Amino acid sequence: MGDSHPAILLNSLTKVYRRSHLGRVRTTLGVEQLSLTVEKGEVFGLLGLNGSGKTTTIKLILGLLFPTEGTVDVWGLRMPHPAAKTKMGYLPEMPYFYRYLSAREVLRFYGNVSGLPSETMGPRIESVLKTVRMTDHAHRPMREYSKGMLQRIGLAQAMLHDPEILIFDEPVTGLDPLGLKEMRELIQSLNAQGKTVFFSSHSISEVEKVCHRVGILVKGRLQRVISQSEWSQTAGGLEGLFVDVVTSAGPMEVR
Amino acid sequence: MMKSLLSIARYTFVQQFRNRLYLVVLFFGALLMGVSLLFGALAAEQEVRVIFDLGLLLTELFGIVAVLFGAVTLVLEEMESKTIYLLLTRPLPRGFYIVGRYLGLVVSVVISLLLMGVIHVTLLGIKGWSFDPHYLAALPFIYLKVCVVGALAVFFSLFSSSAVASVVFTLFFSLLGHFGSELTFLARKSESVLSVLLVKTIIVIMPNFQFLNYRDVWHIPGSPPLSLWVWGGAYAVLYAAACLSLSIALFSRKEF
Repeated sequence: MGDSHPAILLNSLTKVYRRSHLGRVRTTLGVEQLSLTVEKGEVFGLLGLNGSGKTTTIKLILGLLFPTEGTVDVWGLRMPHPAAKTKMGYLPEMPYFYRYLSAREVLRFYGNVSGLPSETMGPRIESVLKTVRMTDHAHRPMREYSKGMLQRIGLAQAMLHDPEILIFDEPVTGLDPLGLKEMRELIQSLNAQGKTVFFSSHSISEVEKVCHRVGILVKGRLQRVISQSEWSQTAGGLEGLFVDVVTSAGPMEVR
Repeated sequence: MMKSLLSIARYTFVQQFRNRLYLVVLFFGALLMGVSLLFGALAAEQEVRVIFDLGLLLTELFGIVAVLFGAVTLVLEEMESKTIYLLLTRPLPRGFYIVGRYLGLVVSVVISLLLMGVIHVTLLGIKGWSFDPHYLAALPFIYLKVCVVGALAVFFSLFSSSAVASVVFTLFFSLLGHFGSELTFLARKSESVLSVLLVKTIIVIMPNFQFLNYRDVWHIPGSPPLSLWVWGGAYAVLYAAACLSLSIALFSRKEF
């Protein structure tokens, strides 16, 4: 695991879901021939419409799904490699937690599972709770938390073990304007610390503000990767480029 | 890695004790103990004997029901609630997850059975029971049965993906496991090669609880014999390990 390897390397990644019911096998394409390199210290956004394959891509990177074809390497390690997982933090679209535990108990649990040393556990938990402004509520059982509070604890657990890569699935969905600003600042702050951030989103305006590069997924295919300098020099900005790419890929199906 | 496994086990233990359904089952067990008192009163001179036998039976039944429902929902619940996402994206081998969850469940059920035992012994003491070492010998065999049923239920929960089907399969296997000698007799009497083969396969696959039936040797002086401890213990551990190995194999291929 070293600097010579890209943070994330997707090589001809294809995922086909197969579901069988009463002997009939139905296949659905998740992503197809997806090749992409995310460099260390980069903020990379994955843009796409609903059902375009964003969550599938993220789950393939994390090892929650297995590729039908192709490979995923994180820091040069073939996923799902445990050593690569120690360097990754994940925030799902809607984080789910153990209802009977308090936030501190949940973080301690994830800290243990992530291999965080006992001596740094306490200070680290308090540090991430402070970052997400949840210190005062951390003793309460998580069944009492609002959606916004769960999202904050979701962020806390993703950052807990100080990972080098942060993977967020739709992190700005459902956030109010203040929440959006906080999330943007957090991503920028993590990037300033040298972290690589990979996230999916619908929100072009947010992606535009924080990303160095953006990949546009259409019907499971990575149609185009655009850098910040490109969209900043284009009249319609990232939104114009996104619409061009999506419409040129053909009529949208309801998925 | 061991730290991860113990964390999973500890969390499962805490979850079981904070789960209200589990407390309801515990209350149910205590209530059944009360019923044993009623039966005891009806049995006149044999009151202590009836409370003794019924209490052990209920302890075993309670343990099996608790571990069965606990084990069936152990992984399914986490898959449905999606809490498993955040665990499997960490450097935790999937096998450790299964073993940790199983250990946490079994320990929590065995502790609840110990509490049941305390209630039972207290009831017996009130009724003038003089301590019988057979009692202490009977309990570990119940715990071993609980371990076997728990491992079987974990396997079926991953094999079938439906909680109801898992409960039915585990109950079916567990019930048949009590009829090992009857099945062997059936195999011996059958003339059809196919039937013999089928019954013999069933005998091998089903858990054989006769290795763990202390009541079968209760009356033998000096019981339990060492062979029962050794064979019973080894059988339960190996059977549970086989079930967990199959569960890990299934779980390793699961996608989320």
